[in-house]
Amino acid sequence: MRRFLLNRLLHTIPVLLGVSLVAFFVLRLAPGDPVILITQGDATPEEIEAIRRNLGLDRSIIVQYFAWLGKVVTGDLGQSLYTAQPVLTELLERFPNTLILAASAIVLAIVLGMPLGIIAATRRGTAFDSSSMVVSVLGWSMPNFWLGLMLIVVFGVWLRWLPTGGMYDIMAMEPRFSDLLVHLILPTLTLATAHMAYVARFTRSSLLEVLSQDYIRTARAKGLSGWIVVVRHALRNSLIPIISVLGVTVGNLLGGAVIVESVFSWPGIGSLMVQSIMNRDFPIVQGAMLFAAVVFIFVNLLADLLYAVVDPRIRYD
Amino acid sequence: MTNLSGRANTVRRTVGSPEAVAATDWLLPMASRLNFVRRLAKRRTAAVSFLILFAVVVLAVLAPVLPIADPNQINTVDRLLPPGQAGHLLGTDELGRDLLSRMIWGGRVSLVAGFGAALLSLLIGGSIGLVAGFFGKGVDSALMRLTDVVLAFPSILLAIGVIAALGSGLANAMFAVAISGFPLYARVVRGSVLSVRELDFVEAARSIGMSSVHIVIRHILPNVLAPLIVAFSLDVGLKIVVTSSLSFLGLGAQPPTADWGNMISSGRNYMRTSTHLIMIPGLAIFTVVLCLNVTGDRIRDVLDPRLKNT
Repeated sequence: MRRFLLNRLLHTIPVLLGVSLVAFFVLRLAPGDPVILITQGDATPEEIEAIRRNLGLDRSIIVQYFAWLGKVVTGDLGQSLYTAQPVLTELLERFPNTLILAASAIVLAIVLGMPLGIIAATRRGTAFDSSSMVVSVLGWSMPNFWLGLMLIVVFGVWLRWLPTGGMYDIMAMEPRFSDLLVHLILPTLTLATAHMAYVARFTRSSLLEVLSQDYIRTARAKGLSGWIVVVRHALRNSLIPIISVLGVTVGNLLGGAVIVESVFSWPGIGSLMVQSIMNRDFPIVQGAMLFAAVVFIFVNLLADLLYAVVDPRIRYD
Repeated sequence: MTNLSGRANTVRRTVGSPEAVAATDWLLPMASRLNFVRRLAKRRTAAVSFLILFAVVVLAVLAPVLPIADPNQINTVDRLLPPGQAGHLLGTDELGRDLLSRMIWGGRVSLVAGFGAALLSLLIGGSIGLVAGFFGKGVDSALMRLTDVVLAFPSILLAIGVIAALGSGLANAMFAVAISGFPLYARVVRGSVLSVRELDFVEAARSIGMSSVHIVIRHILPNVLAPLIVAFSLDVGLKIVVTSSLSFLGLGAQPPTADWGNMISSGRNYMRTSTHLIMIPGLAIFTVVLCLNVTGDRIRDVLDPRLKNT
């Protein structure tokens, strides 16, 4: 297990380096001089030269990259051009909000998606199976920004049951947990729908594959009831591929959160990123990309480790 | 946009499948080609989906010759008309522009953006996968590490980063989405090439002195087409959603150009009183993506029967 862990950690290092390279160079693609962007063209040539020297832009691109990487490793992601706050501070301020949204969505996707997939697989070929798969395709095909807006129209505007955006009631004196929960319902539902559909579909196919194995036939032949066979014998093995899929799903949730946060004015990293593009605040965009990629890499690492814990064949391979 | 990994996973499982390789037979003789279409249409849902898609594409292609209003003709007197009005079947938007006309012209842009992004992804990823799989060793390792790095970013975030650098606009959004989506194709093609390149007919081609380029184009490429088509058919819907999402965020097609995504974005300010402004373009994206997914699923079932019912 230790060897597996070490191997997996070592494999992460070149990917992290590659991610830093992409994050650094992608914004170098931007047409125009970064100093002109920073000063918005409002500076004398002497000032521009001074800023250029100060930011190290007069050095070679390779030297600039390593200087930047050195800072990133110590947590210095630069300063926002808009608020002059350190980028990391801005990101860490918003990250818990994105985490709350993404975590609620993944819980909802699992809680609703897995049972749907299990029942569909155990009742293969029935009306329930086909209708649950129809629901799954519908959920999978729905653009989440549109679903979010329609939920706002129905539950926020027509029925007036739920708030249409934000994280807390802006009129409230202090943030209350119950207020947060109420504000969380629509964005969570929006973000979770496609993932729920995918979890249901994947659980179904994974369980169907296991249910056709010989040991399941043996379990049935020795007289075990249908549900015991599914819960005790089939589900555990079908969980193995589902865990790895959930790792990737978390990354996609981070991506999906960009849209959902913008629809519901949820103050997370996604809405910050979109706002920063409008403000041409490149350090924030770069920092958010890097931050999301690092979170994604570590979530996948965690999923792989969990995978190895559940399936001994992987760690002894 | 959330479905990429799921589809990638499904598609990845087709790699190296003997059925997938054998299924390319339909690409050659006419009789098999007809048989393929017949098998595609066998499922009623797939046939209906295909017909709907066909109708949408025909409308989009014929937009310039259809007897519809100018999509950018502003008429402040008739603004925010509900659907069903004389002369404005789907109503009008906040500037009094005819919604039916904007839907048809917008469909043109949205379809081109989605198909274009998927095609560009296929070309970039397919080439990388072909080179990596055929040449192996160091080339393979370097290209696959590059793919791993791109996969490490949540795809829409990478696309947004690229747009931040290049600037908003439809072409940049398509390019950004294509870049963030190429690993799917690179992996699918590389896997197929690896399973094909050791087969006897490739060995035979090599032994009679055929050049690498010739072997790749003549012998390898036709054999990796089936998994590539499956991946493409399942990916187009996703790309339409992602490019529309970027337009919705103001990063894709820019006004006054109509695009289903930016139509929803501008209709958002009037959703309390004129819900049709977001309902109609949203339903259009949903329907097209649903039909593409159903058709894609059917194409996968036909080209790779091993994955049927998964």
